[in-house]
Amino acid sequence: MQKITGYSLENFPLNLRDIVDLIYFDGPLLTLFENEYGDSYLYYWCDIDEQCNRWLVFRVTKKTLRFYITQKLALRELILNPVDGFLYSIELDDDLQYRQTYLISPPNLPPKYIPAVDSYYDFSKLDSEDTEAKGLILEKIWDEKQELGHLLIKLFDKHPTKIGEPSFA
Amino acid sequence: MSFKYQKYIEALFVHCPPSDYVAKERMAFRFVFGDTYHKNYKNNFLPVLIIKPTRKNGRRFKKDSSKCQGYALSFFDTLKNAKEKYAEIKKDNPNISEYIGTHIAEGIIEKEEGVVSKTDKKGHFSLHEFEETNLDKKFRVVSSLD
Repeated sequence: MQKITGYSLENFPLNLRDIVDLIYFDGPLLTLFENEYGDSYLYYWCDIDEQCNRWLVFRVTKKTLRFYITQKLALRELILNPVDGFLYSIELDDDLQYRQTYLISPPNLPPKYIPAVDSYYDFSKLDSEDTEAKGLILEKIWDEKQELGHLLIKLFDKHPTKIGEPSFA
Repeated sequence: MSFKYQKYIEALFVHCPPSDYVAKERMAFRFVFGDTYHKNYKNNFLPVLIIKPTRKNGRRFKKDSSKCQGYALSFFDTLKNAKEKYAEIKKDNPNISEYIGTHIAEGIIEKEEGVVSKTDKKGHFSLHEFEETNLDKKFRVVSSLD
């Protein structure tokens, strides 16, 4: 694993539940989580060794998440400008137990953990087997039914049959 | 004919492999670790849920249809499509070669070796191997990923 420069924590302080994988290839690479108040966090896979996978965990606002999904912001921007000003680096073993937790400032991230300038999102990065993912993502980033309708038109290039009750492929 | 991971897939409450999987000869390309001393070299032709069985307890594999997919192997239909997929993933995760592999291996999947899914629009397809199949003996590295 890459060397981490950060502040070591005894425990991972957040209680998060996973919502949906945003990027998937033979395993999740970017997953949306929420805390008990509905705040959104992203788990970004960044490294692996014999015992653990390392993830960067950081809070995102609904607006920045929406901008990411709609390709107005790249993943790189989300990681380099986290809402709280820092990211957690966590190492999870095969039993999903936390082994190491650090607080990291974005300038201290190893270059290998920073996505490309054009790391924009599209739904082809979803797990093709996860048929509910698109709907879940849209539900999380959009509150207003009318805005959801506009987004559906933009993303799928067609009008939903009835706004508020979209049919996802 | 029995599948390689029969005891796992027959415990699922879905038709596994799915009924649209068919036995046919295919040229196939797969991400692998090319260095025989690499810690993951031994896993080059193992499905996700065989490498990490505990993952079947996570949300991603909650559905039996997803677990079924976890016992299949991922391939691409052309070297170009495999390289394009790697480039796409690397934009988001520059360190991805540590996870999925450092090279691309090429080989022919015979119809006696398993059943394959339809190819998606990016050239990806999955294979459920039959019991006696040993792809690591037939595939050879044809390209480095970096």
